[in-house]
Amino acid sequence: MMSDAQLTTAAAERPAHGWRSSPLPDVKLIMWIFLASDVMFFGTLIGTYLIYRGRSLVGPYPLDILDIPLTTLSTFVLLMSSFLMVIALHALRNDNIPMFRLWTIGVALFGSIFLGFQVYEFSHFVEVGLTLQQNLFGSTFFVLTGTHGVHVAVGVLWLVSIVVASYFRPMRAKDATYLEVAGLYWHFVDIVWIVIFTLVYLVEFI
Amino acid sequence: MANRPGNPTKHGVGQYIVVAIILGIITYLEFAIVEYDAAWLGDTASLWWLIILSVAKFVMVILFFMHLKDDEAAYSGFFGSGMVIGLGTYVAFVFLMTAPGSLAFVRSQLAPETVAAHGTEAQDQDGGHALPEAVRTLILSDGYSRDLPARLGDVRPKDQSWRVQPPAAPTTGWTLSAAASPAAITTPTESTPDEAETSPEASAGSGGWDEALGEATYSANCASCHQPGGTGIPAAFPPLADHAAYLVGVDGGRTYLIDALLYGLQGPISVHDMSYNGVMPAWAFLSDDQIAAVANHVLHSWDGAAGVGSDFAPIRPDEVAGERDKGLSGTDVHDLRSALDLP
Repeated sequence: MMSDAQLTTAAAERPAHGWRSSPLPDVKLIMWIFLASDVMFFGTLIGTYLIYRGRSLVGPYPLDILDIPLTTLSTFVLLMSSFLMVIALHALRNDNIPMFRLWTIGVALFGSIFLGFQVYEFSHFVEVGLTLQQNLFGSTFFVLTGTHGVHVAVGVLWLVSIVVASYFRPMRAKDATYLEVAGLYWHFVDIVWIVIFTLVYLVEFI
Repeated sequence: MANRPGNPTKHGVGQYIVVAIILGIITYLEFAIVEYDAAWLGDTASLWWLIILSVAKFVMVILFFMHLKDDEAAYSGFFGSGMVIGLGTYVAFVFLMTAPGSLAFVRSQLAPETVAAHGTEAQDQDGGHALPEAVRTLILSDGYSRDLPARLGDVRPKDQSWRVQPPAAPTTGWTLSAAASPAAITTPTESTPDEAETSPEASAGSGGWDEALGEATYSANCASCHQPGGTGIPAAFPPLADHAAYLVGVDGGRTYLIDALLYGLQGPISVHDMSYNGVMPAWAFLSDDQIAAVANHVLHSWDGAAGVGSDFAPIRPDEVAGERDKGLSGTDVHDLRSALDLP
């Protein structure tokens, strides 16, 4: 263990160009580690849903209320938002700031549309009697998709804040890593939904 | 960092467009398999195709949109180990649920007659598993007491009784059923049994209530916990036989019974010196007719002469409708029960 004084000395003795334990960009590395932990988090929620699947003693049951056409549409919207995300990153890397702002706002907009679908879906479910306490399906479904929805909402706020910040503190191609990290988060939320869409929605109707 | 292998500027927009189009097509294929019921595929093949297609989407987004294809291997390593641990947790969870010693496994080892007897006494199974009474009761009361074939063969997976069924009064949905029938709101549901017996509209119909509907509703929704014979399950779900008829006779009991059906019940109660702490779910999604019929079914079954008697005024659907706007919780209903004059 080094004392504080030793640490300070060590910091002062670093070469002028910086001293790094890893050649990887810090924020990107941290994001990937976070995603690795988040994949375990969602893995647990999805696993819980699957284990309690088909064990509800009272209705409404998944077959009764899940809406495949509607959810396919919202899934498509989320996939396309991921596409806009890479386009936005591409624009920023090429120093095309107007396009970067346009596409990033597009991502946030598509994410908001997805959230709108989810709000509609949740309120409809509650209306027909599926609440968090109604049955095992309600508990596991709302916790899983609700957690995912919160992730999407956080992503929307993050992307909007990046665009807003770009007006006060100009972003250039060299800052692209910050957008890339937000993009990684966004794509991750997208792939989680790919899994949920298949295991929660589609498989039910086979 | 411009020359790092992870710098994705070398990818053209064209590649992203191609990936996006493929993702869209795959999503449509998934939709088509499910929505157009690809009978020619068969259920198993359909399932596998759905899994393959979604894995393909998953992998494409990771490789091309998240750039793992060209980025540092360390990122793939982190993410991959997260996935392995996540999947491992799931496998361990499934194992916990099915392995010898788990609840599901022990339950499957219980002889059917033991299940039917609700574990009134601990028996030494052929494997030598002598289950303590408390454990047996817990196992039998956790909602899985019916084996899988019984649950699958049940009407409930196809049961549509939660759907809005038009009650006698024209309504736009169960949430509004009380508002659509103003007379029902003002019906004195707090009436004592004596008052209810003299109520003229209570005697409508031959038996005053739909016996077939009551029995069907009971077996579809109530029997799994309260049992076909109304005996309940010790320590979890209270008996209805030899209890419900008494309950409805006390002051406010009639309203309480309807509220318990509509809003459920949460909290420990005591019946015949035994305490019960299972959760009664809310049944507000059943129609007024169904709730009234099932309440009357419960009140007129099993008890014989000790029951409510032939002069009892059956619970009417409009009484149920009048209770709908209260918006109680299971705990509120528990408070209502505590306020009753019970021994």
